[in-house]
Amino acid sequence: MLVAGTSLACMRGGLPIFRDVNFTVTAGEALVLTGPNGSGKTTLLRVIGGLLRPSEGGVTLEGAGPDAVLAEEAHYLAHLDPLKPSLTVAENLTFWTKFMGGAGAADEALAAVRLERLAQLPAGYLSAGQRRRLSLARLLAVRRPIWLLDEPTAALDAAGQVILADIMRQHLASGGLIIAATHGPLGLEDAKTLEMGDTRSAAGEGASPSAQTRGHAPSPDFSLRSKSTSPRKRGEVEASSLSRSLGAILARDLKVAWRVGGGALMGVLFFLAVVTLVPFALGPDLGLLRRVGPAILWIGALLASLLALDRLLAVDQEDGSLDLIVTASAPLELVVAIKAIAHWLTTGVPLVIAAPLFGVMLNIEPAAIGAVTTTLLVGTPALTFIGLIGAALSVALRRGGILLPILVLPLTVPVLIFGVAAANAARGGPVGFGTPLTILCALTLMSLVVGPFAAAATLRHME
Amino acid sequence: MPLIDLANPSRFLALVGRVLPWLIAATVIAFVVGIALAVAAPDDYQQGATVKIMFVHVPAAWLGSFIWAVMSIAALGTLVWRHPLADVAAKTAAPIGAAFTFLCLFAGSMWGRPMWGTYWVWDARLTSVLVLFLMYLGLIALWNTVEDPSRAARAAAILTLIGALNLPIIKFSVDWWNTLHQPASVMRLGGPTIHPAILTPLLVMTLAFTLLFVTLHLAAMRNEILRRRVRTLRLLEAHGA
Repeated sequence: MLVAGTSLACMRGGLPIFRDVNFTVTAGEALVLTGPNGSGKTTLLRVIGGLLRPSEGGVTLEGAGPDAVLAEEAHYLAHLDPLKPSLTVAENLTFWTKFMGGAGAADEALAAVRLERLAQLPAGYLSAGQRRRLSLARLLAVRRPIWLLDEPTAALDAAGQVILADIMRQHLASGGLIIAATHGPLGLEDAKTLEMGDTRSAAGEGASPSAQTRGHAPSPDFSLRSKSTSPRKRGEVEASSLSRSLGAILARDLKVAWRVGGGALMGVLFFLAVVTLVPFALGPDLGLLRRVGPAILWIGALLASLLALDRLLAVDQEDGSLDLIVTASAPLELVVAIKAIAHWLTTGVPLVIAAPLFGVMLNIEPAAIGAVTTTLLVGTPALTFIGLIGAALSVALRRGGILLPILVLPLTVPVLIFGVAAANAARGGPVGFGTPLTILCALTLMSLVVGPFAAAATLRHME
Repeated sequence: MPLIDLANPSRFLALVGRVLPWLIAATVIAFVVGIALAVAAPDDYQQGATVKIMFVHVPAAWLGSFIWAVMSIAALGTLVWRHPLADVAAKTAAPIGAAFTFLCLFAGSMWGRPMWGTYWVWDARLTSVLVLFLMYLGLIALWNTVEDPSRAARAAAILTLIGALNLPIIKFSVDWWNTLHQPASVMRLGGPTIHPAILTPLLVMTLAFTLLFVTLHLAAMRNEILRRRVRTLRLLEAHGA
């Protein structure tokens, strides 16, 4: 197996971060990226891992089978440890192993990083060093051939650094390859180095000179040609089962929502607050409230479902999970659709269940309560899946909070119109209940398709 | 025993262990007497037997405000005296208060069905209790959001005191809102006085409910202290490894 980068360049915000970077790493070899802060070490790792597109050049993978994709052979260990504090150490590890299609055993990996005694403890109890070790266990349990390590020694104590060096040596000995960015020694004696930044590496062999004229940004100029290009015999990459990945992410999202418990309660609470506030504005006239009741319930449910949308993808971005999700072998469209379904089950369904009670408080007649509840059951998935697009946009733009409702609210207008229309039609009128309800169903089905594709496209292009 | 002696959780747990059986016995006796008196009480000449819902509704309403007052004192304990048990008391009182407030709303709505012909009217009293219920739920959500209890304690204490200041204002505004929009078209309970035949069971039931709250609260505080010890042990386990 061989990973090679040729004349790589990367621009961020119109400024070059690095230019003309060349390297070759083969199986059993380690490449260490060094250089000052801002020299582009992390960016280069993200380019290799498929999270960023280079502005010039490319990274190629050879000798890993005809269908192999670099991003699916590589395992990126970022600064952040993608852990859910409410899940136990073992649950966190098992999730990533299942999701990334790993073959290793979780308990062996935990034993290798000396965390086996803490397997049943919530990950939120771990110190920074222990979290880091759990991430190292992930590398072992998932067992991908290419490791991209970004500051792997960060937060590790002396014992932890010894563990890291051991597992890196074992990985190289078993034919893996490692590209690591670091400021300190890693404990790998015969690793090649690639010096990033404006200092020329003395070890450069065939260094490609790049013009270092004034006004140009510093560019790393070191190319490394490996002589040992013997392709390693590698075991068959286990075909990652798609349903296993998707099942893992559904189970994890439901489990996290259940353990944290806040999401469903807060959505319903907000819904109740909105329903309570409207009579204060309109007056306690039961006849009036009965007439506008379905509209109040729909607006309350709409606002409450918007409230929770902020968390749909942002949590995974904040803890770094999203990087691993985006580069996973499972299609991103399906993964975000599964995440949206889990989100709807934990935040949308409680709103539907609460709606009849709030309907009684607004003095709506039983037939209309049934109709509103039905329309909410049919319509709230549309709100979640339309919101998925907004959630993806706000994650990609790294602007949370108020932007999301502004983006999403106009898109929900048709759902609101036909939801309330169907609920009112159930009370009798020129149009029957069926017509607007059918249109509402159509809107939901359409959003089930459009939402995941738009969200996945947005996430792929965030950089 | 001075209050400061209770600062030691172990001493507090020992005290709770001694007192709790007596409290449970007292609560049961008070409920037996109260329910017997309530059953024996005469029906209202207008409302019939439904008036007996009052024996649940009124004590629950009293506890809804009383528990907020208890939490406000506990909040002062957290903010001013830094009493270590104050935030335990405040945290455990909130779900009990929410439960009694819900009971009050539920009983009121069951009462309202035969009296007003609907489960819910936006009557000033009901609505103020509903707002109180919302504030309880918000407070519980605040406690649940922050994982570390000592960090949540100060935020919750401030919110509790703000709530205590705001509740009279909310009550006043709701009364004003209701009378402005709608003159008293809703039939209200009671005349100028309540007959002793009804007042006595009502007072006994109120006592029984209050005893029930004290019992539940002490037991919940004990559970919370034990829960925190388990958490500390697990944290120690994590850092010892």
